[in-house]
Amino acid sequence: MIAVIGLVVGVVAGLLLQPTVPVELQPYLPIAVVAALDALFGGLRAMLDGIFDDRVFLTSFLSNVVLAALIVFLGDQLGVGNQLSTAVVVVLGIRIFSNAASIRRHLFKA
Amino acid sequence: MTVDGTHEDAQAAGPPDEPDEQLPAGTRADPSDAVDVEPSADLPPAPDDLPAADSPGHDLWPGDALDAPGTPTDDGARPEDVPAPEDVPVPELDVQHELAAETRAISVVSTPADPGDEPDLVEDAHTAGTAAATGPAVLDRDASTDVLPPVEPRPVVPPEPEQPAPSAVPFDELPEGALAGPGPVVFADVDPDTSPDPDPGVGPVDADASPEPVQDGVSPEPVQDAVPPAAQPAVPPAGPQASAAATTGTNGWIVLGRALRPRLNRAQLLAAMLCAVLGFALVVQVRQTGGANLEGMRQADLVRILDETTTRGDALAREAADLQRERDGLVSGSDTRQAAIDAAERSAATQGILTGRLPAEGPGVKVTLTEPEGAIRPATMLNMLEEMRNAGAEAIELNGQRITASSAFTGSAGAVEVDGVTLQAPYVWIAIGDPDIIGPALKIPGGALAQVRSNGGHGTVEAQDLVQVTAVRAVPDPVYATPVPPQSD
Repeated sequence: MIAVIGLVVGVVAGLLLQPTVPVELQPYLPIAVVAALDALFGGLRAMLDGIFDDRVFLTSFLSNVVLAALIVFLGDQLGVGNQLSTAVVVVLGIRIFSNAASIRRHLFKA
Repeated sequence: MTVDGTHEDAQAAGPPDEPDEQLPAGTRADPSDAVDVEPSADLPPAPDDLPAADSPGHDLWPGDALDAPGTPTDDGARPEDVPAPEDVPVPELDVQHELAAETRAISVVSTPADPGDEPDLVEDAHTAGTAAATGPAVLDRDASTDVLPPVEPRPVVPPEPEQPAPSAVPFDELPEGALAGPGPVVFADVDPDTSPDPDPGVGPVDADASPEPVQDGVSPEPVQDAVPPAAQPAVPPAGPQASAAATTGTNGWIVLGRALRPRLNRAQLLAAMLCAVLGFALVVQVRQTGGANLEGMRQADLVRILDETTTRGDALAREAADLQRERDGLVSGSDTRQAAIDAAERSAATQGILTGRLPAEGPGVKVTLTEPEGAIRPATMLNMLEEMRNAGAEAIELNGQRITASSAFTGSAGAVEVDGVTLQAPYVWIAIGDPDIIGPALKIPGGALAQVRSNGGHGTVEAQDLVQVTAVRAVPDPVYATPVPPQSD
């Protein structure tokens, strides 16, 4: 519940503050968001599995975000930023889907 | 490390839920476990019994085993350790099946090689396994899991019904005791659920049983743990999930609802903070994307957009030029047409006056001929008309008859006919033209008026600034003559 409240607080803060993303970070923010989503789903699944650990969650959240952004940054430096960001999104999307499937299996037994 | 490990482990666990896969996995794991034990112990005995399983398993397991021991030492390992005891028993028991059935000697061989505690444990496991093998309980997964923890207590494990419960509980509680030394963590919540589910009476047992397995899992077992975790990830352990499903509660909604219950502890606060960060970033990114400004785009995209824009602009410019040309053509065309219309109208007016189709007015003369003595002959009237035409008269009317190029004077003196209409004196000519030219022209000696006088008539010429020729004559369309087509075009 607190997590949901935190999510709402973050959304509201984003709406109210209306910050502008620095130009250097703009290509990486969407990837980071997707990675964070992946971590969030992983955490939810771990919670349902009964093996949730806040430290693991924090570590996975931060490392996923940083790693995803780093990969895209590297891709930009190599001139394949578009392709690498697509690859990252695809991988993270697959993970999100599999995690969601596990969550669904937990909740709906199907 | 543990992050992905746990998730992926869980992932791997997902599909193999089905019992069918588990069984082969377990069987497969068995040799591997044995292998792990063996390499550490003695090489020679190993190849004898498990050669086939060895070669594949040999390479893989050690690596996993290396990782596994590392994780338990770290923080995140706890959750992994928890499931470990569960699975451990399963494979081991199976191993024991085989071993007990076939090669008990190997187990004996392997045991001596292991350091201090292990031989005991292994042997105990074997004994337990054998005992279990004899008993029906072995087949049951839960029962088997239960068997292991008892392994430490060694003596009388399998038959007791109560011990299964503690074994299930500690898995959940393990993280508690291990992770949150100061206070209860999330799992504290899970425990009550799980414990009541398997056994209502377990409650008291938990207190007793939980500390034991925890310590066991940590201190004495590490070697043993190292083995099972290795087996775990490889076996795509249905273990964790199945155990989670079985132990942590049959209904995921209960877990979810309990997790959603507002509670102030570190895990919840951390999750809330991260979720806030995620929500913030999400909104910012959505707004950024919604803005659709060019700032965040890559150079290649910008170049592409610039190209597209330029191409589009060129196309539009060409289209604009085409339209401009078309408009100019239409405008000039309409001008030409209007000019033609004007010219035609002017021509029509001129020809209408000349042919007698249109009434006309202007300066002119009015000639009145009377017949006081004698009669005026048609030839005299014709002479009068030609005199007027010579003097430049443009429109001529005689007694209400329009005189045109086709008019003819017929009849006889005193009964002059014009175009078949008999005229009565006085004869009144109305001619539009220059009065100063027509008047003198008629009066010249030997002219028209002189001829009228010779016929016994009398004529007067009256110059006027404005005379009106109102009579018109319908001009029949030419039947034979057609205009010559313009040759210039």
